[in-house]
Amino acid sequence: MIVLNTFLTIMQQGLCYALVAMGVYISYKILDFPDLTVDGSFPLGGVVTIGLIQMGCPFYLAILVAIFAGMIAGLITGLLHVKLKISNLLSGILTMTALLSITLALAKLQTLIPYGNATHLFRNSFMDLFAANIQLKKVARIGILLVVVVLFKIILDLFLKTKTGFMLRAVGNNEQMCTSLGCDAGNYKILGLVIANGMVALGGSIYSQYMNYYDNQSGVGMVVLALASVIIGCAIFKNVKFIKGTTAAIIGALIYTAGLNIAIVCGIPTTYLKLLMAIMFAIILVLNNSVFSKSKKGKVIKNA
Amino acid sequence: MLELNHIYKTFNINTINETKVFSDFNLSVDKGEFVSIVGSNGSGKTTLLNIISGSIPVESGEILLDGKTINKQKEFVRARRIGRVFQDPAKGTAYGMSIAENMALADNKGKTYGLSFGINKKRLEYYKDLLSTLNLGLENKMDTQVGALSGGQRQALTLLISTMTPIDLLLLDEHTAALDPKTSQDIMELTNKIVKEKNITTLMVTHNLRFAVEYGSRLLMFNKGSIVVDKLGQEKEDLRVDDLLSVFNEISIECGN
Repeated sequence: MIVLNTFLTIMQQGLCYALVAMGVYISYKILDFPDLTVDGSFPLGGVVTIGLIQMGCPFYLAILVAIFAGMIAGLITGLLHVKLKISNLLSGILTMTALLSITLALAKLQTLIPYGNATHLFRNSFMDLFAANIQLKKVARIGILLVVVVLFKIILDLFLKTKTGFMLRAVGNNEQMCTSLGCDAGNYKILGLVIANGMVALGGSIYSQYMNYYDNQSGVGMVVLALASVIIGCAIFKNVKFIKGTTAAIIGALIYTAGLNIAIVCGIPTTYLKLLMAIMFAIILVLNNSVFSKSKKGKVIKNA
Repeated sequence: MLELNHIYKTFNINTINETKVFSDFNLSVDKGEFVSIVGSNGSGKTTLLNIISGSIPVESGEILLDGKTINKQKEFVRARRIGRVFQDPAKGTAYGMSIAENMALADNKGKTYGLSFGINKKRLEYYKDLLSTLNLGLENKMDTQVGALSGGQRQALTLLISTMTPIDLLLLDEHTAALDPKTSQDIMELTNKIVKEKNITTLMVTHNLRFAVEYGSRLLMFNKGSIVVDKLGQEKEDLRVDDLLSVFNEISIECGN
């Protein structure tokens, strides 16, 4: 029973985090930009969603607005970096810090806000069909999450195959190439950050609905979680050509969440959750440098 | 075609490291000319290319391309008419993308990069034909990541993609310097072939005096930001490497080296 329960928890949490990991895949892997905005745009997505739903807005609309809010956060980081020439790490830290106040203000100074009886992605007439069985309910949630994750994965994959997507990848590889082709590399960086943080906010929005409450602290450590997921996923599938980066990020997120949950099941107090996250990330970075060596991204890890 | 009038450029102005590179520098290049530029380190060759491409600004002076001043255009705007190949083979291509993807990107230069598919399958045959002119077998590796290619292969690909769309001016910045002697000879031959076929006005900075003498229609030698040798036409034809070397030596003696 405990195995099944843990598995279901891992799948639910992991799929929420997979959305964040896909966003960070765009900023970190494609754009080569260690974006710390994530810690702020994740709760931003959550607070916008719960705020709108409590005001009577339909949840799907609230989710879309949450994505939009995350995109604005990414836009600000991008503008700070590209137009005001602030370094990539500092631009992210600035936006993230500013968002701490903004999310707190939006949450009306509450650190925890429950959804109550409001209708949302995981509490609606469809979910009511499974109300009788708690396990079945979890499976249904996983089904919904899978639909959302796969939908956004396909959208991202398609986007990365367009001309704009190609240019985004080129900018991450070699900015000069973009310039040589007559395009402003800065604009593509901003675009990438906008998309990335839109995805992160989507993750935050879905996560808060999954938890059934908004937590102002939920963003803490999200950068580490997402980066670790992306790095694990990409390291595992480095030599498998047909696995796309987005898929790798999703699987990485599931593996990382599994690691965390298994540790908790084994008796590590949740107080040490963030410590555990950091330790696991450190181990992954070291493994990535040695075991999975020959990584071209070695230099970037230092920045992260 | 290309005109530089009264160019002034100083690095690290008002610091202890202030270095004046150009002071009242003038150059005019005609359409279709293939100019090779030689000169010792710090003589301003690469700075000249950087000024033309817009990667560094000038203090004063005017840069004209086809009679129109391009001073105020940003680097990426100028790049729509100017192709450039760097010494570092990594700078011309995207390492994480396949050969076909790199070519598709370059093929779209000058148009908008919108939301249509990056690779137009109908163009793949054309890319293959282009690649086969390199005689490197790259036409069979269209799906290989560019990062897996050798420096010479990448430089050949860079040459190809930077001249895929029509450009007015080609800047070659010691583009064979990072390659072994055989490969650098091959790349030089390829450069000559492309430049002649497409009749592109070209500026080539090189440290290889033989390349400078054998290829191109005009030769410039720089010293301390001014042109000390300017040979074209028959004079260029008659020029030999030894002549250049002796000028080099004279300059060095003057400088007290």
